[in-house]
Amino acid sequence: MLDENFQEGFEALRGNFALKLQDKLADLISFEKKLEETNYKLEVLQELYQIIHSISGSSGMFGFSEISEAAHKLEEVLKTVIKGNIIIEPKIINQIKMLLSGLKKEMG
Amino acid sequence: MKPTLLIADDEKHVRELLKMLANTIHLDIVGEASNGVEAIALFKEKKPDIMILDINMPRITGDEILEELTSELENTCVIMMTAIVDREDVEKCIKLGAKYFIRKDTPIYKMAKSINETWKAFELIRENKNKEKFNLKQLFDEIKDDKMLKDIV
Repeated sequence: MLDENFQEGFEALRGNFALKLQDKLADLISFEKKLEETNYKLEVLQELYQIIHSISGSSGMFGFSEISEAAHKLEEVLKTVIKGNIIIEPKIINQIKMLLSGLKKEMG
Repeated sequence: MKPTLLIADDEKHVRELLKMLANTIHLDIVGEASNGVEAIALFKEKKPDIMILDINMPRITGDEILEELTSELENTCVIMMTAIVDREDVEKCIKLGAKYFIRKDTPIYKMAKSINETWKAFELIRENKNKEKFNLKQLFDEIKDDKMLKDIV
C-alpha cells in the first residue's frame, strides 16, 4: 500500500523530526530547573505532561520507539498525579526524576 | 470521487505525515486544523467524509470536539488518534460518535490499513442507511400521493 515515494517522504520527515527532538530535549533540560524551583508543583507537572505527551505520541509515529516508550512511562505517572490519584510526595518526585532522566538518555 | 478528509492535530510534523499517508491511500485532504477551535470550524464548513482527530489538543480537546459536533457526525467517519489509549477516553469517544482509535505509535503501514478499512466499513454502512432513508422517503411520498392506497384498493 505504501510506495517508494512515501518511504522517501517519510524518511525526510523523520529526519526533520529527529532535529525537533533535540530542541525538545533542550526544553526538557531547562524545564527540569523549573521543576526543582517550584518543588514539583502540580501546575508545573501539568505543563511537563503536555511536553511529554507530545514527545510520546509523535516519536512513536516516526518510529522512535525507545523514546516513545520512555516518554509513555513518565506520561502514565504524570497522568495519575494530575488526576489526583497520587499525592506528590518525595517517592513520586524521585520516580518522576528517574523516568525523566531515562527519557533524556534515550533522546540524547 | 475520493473521500474527503479533515486532519486535526496540534503538531505540524504529525499533520505532515498524515497528509502524506492520506495522499498514498487516495484521500482528498480538505482541511487541516492545529487546534480544536479550527477543527470545529473546518468540520462545519467542509463536512468531510473522514475526520482524523487527535485527543490531546490545546484549547478544545478531541473529546470536547466530539461533544460539540455529536449531532452532526452521522455522515463522517471519525478516527481518533492518541498517544495512550485510555479506556475511559475510548468509551467516551465511541459514545460520542468516534468509529476507531489509532495509537500514534502504530507502524505507519498498519495505520494506513486501519484508516482504509475503517473508512470502507463506514462507507458501506452509510450507503445502506442512505438507501433505507431513500426507500422510506419514497414510501412516504407514495402514501402522500395516495398511489399506495389506490393500489391496495
